[in-house]
Amino acid sequence: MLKAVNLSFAYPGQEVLKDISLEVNSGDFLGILGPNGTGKSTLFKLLTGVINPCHGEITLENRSLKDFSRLSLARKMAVVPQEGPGDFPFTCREYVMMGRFPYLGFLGAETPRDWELVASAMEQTQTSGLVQRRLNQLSGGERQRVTLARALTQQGDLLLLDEPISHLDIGFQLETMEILTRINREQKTTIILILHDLNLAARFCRKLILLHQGRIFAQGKAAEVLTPESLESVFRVKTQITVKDGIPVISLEESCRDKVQKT
Amino acid sequence: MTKTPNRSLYLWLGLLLLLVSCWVSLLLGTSGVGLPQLILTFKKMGGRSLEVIFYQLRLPRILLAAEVGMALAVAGASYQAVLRNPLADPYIIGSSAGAAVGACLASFFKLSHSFLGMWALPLMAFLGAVGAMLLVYRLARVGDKLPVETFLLAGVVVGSLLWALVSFLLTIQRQDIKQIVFWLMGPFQAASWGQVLILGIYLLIGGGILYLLSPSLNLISVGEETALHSGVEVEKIKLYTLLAASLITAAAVSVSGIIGFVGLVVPHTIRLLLGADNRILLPGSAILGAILLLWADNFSRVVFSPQEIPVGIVTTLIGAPFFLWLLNQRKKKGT
Repeated sequence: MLKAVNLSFAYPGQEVLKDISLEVNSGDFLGILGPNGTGKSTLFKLLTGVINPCHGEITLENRSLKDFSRLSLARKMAVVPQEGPGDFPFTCREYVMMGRFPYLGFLGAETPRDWELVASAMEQTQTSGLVQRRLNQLSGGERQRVTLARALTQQGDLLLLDEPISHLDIGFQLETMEILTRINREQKTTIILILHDLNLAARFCRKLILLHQGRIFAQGKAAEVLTPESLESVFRVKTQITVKDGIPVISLEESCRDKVQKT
Repeated sequence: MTKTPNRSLYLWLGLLLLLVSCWVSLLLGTSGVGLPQLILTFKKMGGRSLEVIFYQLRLPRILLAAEVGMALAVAGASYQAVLRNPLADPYIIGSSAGAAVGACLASFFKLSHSFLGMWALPLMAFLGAVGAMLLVYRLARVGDKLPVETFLLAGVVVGSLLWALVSFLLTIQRQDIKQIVFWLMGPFQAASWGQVLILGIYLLIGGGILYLLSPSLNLISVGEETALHSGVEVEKIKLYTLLAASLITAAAVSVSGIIGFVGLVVPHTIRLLLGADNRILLPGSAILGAILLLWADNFSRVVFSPQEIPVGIVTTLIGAPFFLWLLNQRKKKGT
């Protein structure tokens, strides 16, 4: 479905990504992991067509990403970026309706079907109670779920999320991941997301990509990617990994960043 | 407040209020000319001097004040959406300062004695405003993008620079200072049908473009990335919006001088009353802006008559306390 071949990207004087090749199949649930500053966000911007690669190509359904207009891309792929929804007092329902933008008619005229889709997206994300609330009155967890609802109304086959749970407490983190899993199972939506929490990634993502210094360090199933060796060379941490029901559970031991620098 | 039919009802009510305000304003004035005289004039029995008072003095002035109010409020609302900042003002891009420089130059070189005559000052003010706007665009542009931060910064810097130039021109110029100072604070006595027509055309085209862009503006105001991923060609829409809003502001400023607070207070009020949806916000701001400036102008020409106070002072004197009251209400409601 989404395929990247030999991607590389550099800002002037600084190479960020090199030789990235990946393939995402329909129905996948892919997590992208890696330390800060390793090019995760750049890869995200490449995959969502915000920036173009210096080398290599990205194709969506065998068509180059560059050939899509923003409008036709918006019908295929919904994106939850990191930015918050701003300071204006839109109601949550108005905000969720904005996801219908690529389908709406003249002056954004809504049809009953658009209202239905908005209602069902808010139900799926458990935000139905927030319909009349203003965006600037939401808590972090509510905001994240409303943003997800907006992305769902776009009805893309592909959903990309940039660190969707980084600022949430563990309850909301788990809840968000469960909602995503349900969407992935029930609507066959392909999901790609950037994560920091290794345990949640191991538990929910069916496929992982571990980035290290702008390259793909490892990719595959959680148990193959998350090993004590790989985590030590990528994150510079010592870990203990136990496998429970086929899912690796990572417990942190100590950082070895300083020691590496000293020796 | 939730469903669109209710909100458009408010818009129609506002429009009605605007029409009533226009009629009432026709009756207000210093020359003791009121309803009986207006009826006589309608029956074409009022005589030449009454016709002049109603058709050449009061009506163009009323319409011009309403148009300027519309222009500033719509431009303010658009800037706020596209810059994602509820505190943006139509003068943020330095257009007021540019217009002031143009006006000063016009009076400095005594252009009103040239073939341009009474059009010299508004024309120079318009050119000044457009010039300032183009300068800000050039400075703010990074590659093919127009980042909000650099745009705001460039606007502030160009504005300060041009205001310094205005002060300089006023200092070295001894006579005619009163004319400039009065123009800066918002003169409507000189309103003419020509001005009404020209500003009307700008308002129709610019306002029309902005209204058509309003669904995209909604998305941009919640976030540029969000807008991009929802199918909005963000950079294009930003450019069109800023151009349209700037031209409207320039046209308004050239006939009205600098009128503070309308572009800030009006959209804010409409947002509190009817929500943030630009499809409602833009027409709502236009109507409320017109009503507000119309009554400010009535106040300025009637209350201290025969002395007139510049309307810019009135809007700020009403606008600032009102804004504070509004903020206070909001704090109490905890919203």
